[in-house]
Amino acid sequence: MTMYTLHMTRANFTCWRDDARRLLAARVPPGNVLWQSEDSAGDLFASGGTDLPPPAEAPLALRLSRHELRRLECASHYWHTHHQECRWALLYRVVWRLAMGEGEALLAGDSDGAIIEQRVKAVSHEVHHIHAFLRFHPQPVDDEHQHAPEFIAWFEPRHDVLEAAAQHFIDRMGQHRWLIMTPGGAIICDGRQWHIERPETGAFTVKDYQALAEMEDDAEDLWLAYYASTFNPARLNEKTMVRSMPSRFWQHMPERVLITGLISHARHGAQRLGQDSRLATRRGRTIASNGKSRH
Amino acid sequence: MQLTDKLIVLADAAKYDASCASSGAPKRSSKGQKGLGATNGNGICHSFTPDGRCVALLKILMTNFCLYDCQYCINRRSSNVPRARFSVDEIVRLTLDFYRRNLISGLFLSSGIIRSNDYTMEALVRVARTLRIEHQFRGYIHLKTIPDASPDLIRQAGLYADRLSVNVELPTSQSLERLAPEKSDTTIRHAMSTIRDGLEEATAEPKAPRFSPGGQSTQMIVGADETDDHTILGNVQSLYSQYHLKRVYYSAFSPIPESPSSVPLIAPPLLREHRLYQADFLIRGYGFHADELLTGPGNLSLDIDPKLAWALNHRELFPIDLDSADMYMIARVPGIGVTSAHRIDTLRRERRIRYSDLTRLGCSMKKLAPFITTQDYRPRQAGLERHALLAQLQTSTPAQMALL
Ligand code: SF4
Repeated sequence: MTMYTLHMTRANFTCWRDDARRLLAARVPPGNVLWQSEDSAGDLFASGGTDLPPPAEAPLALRLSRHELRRLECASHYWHTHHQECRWALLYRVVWRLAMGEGEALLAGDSDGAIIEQRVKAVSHEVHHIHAFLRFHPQPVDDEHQHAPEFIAWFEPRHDVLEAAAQHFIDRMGQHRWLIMTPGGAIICDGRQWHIERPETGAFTVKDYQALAEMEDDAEDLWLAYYASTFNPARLNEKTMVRSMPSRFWQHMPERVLITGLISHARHGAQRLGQDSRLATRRGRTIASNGKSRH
Repeated sequence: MQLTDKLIVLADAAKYDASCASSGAPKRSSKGQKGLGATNGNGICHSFTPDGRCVALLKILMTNFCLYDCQYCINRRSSNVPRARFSVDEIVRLTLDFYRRNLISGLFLSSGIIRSNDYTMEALVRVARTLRIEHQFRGYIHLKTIPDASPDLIRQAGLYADRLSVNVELPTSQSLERLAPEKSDTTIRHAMSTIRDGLEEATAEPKAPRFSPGGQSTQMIVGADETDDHTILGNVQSLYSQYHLKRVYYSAFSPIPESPSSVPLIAPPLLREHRLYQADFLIRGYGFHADELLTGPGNLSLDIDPKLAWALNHRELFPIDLDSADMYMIARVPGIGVTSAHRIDTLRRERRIRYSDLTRLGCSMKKLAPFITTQDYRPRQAGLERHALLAQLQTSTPAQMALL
């Protein structure tokens, strides 16, 4: 049987779904398809896409529940490394197996299903990370820049989470204009509509992105004051912090400048009490039971 | 006093309250609208401090001036701490500014008691109302309720807050009487009933005014008195059933500066707090009864988690066959959580379960090994005595310390 090569550069789930549907209809088994995408080296020699074959006499078709489709789509946002199987190939093998009646192919206990599960988890986790750890910096707005973003953020996600981030922040930010930049693209929102712009086609270059991202924001004192004060040195637990907030995100979080200091301070004495040591040295006041405060 | 200074004082004063999750709110969005903020039911941790705790909300007191003298509390009137008070506008400004920067998902506001209970509660409600009405803030708001405030103010709070909570403070009414003489178990429970009734009304009556859609929760300080885990869990179980609580939070007592002699000078092990959370989870999520987890007076074991402890005490029920056992029993196997139990159940409808499936499902293999059988696996330890088994399970899990 012929080998078919599919170019998946800048492809999304919808493109893949189209291809997969036609491949199933033509009964092309997964072993006969080569998926080439930008995140895998693919097979460098198999250049030039192949036209897909016409439907077979007994075409395969597959019905999936919304939940199953959503899982597949989520797994397709996983950026695999060179050592891992190409996301599009994995997805096609799974739908092929499902079409052949192997219902377990999408279940976490199955060998393919387990990889899907692991990728769905990794992607959802990264979506969660961008929702949580992204930081917006307010921009000066004047008449001259009426359409410029009021808030900008720089984030370096591991998987394709721009779409999920856009949905989330548009709900949060009301009519504010904002811009989120990542190495692979930006979300631009004018307070009503949003769109995703890729560096190679959009108005911004990667350099612009980085320049914007390195801009200083000096109005973060209040946050730093809060962060240090809400920390309880008597409960120092560095491990849980690092596990929950991996250090790759710290770079763009203002509190990074405090973390080491707070930890070493807690280790050297402050660990007995929960109180912020900045307060321990200040004059306090007790209150009489009639409500009058005493200095 | 500068705003930054106030923030330092009033965040420090509020940090001992652990009940600051931001979950349970209904879906709200500000997409293309005036105002700000959204909620979707799930909490978000925007940062973590080096104590490993999540920063989800701006957690502050409105003021740490307080007329009461609760012995375990840093803000008690006899405590010699710097005092401060925020204005309504200051809290609103801080909340909105932090929110826009994506530093928080909302506000957790509590207060020391100034002038009178109603005066204090009214001020808290005013903050929430200003945020909601004037600024159309749709983020999360959690208000700590002053137990002695009038029911009418509590109802008003429910109009604006996503969650209300009243702290039971201590595990028993005797301890409360001894350590928080101005508070009373009766009024605390009264406030919790007012909230429960409001919640029930809002669910039963579609036209009833909005009322704290994220429900109510409470917090209990552990280790400030002598109460053992057996009593704590028993009381907690009845709290859950009487007041429709979403959660009970446990806060290991933190020694405070110039500690009065009525409370201990050292903190209880954080591991105790952790075990209580685990037991609490088993009661809420797995249908365990408090009496099953601790059959008599005493504390939960610090060495092993309560689920494993329970299974070791019920060797006669194990091993179970994963192809035929009830879902209910599968979820009771140490090392298998509710999610995995569901997945095992789905998978076994397709085919028989193999031992290696469990690794892929992310179960804790070492824990579950003695308690299950599959078509290709039978535990070697099946005949082992409880003690030998315990020793074997513990060998590579050194007793604790993991938390620190
Ligand atoms: S009422 Fe008691 S617990 Fe609350 S702030 Fe005052 S002293 Fe602390």
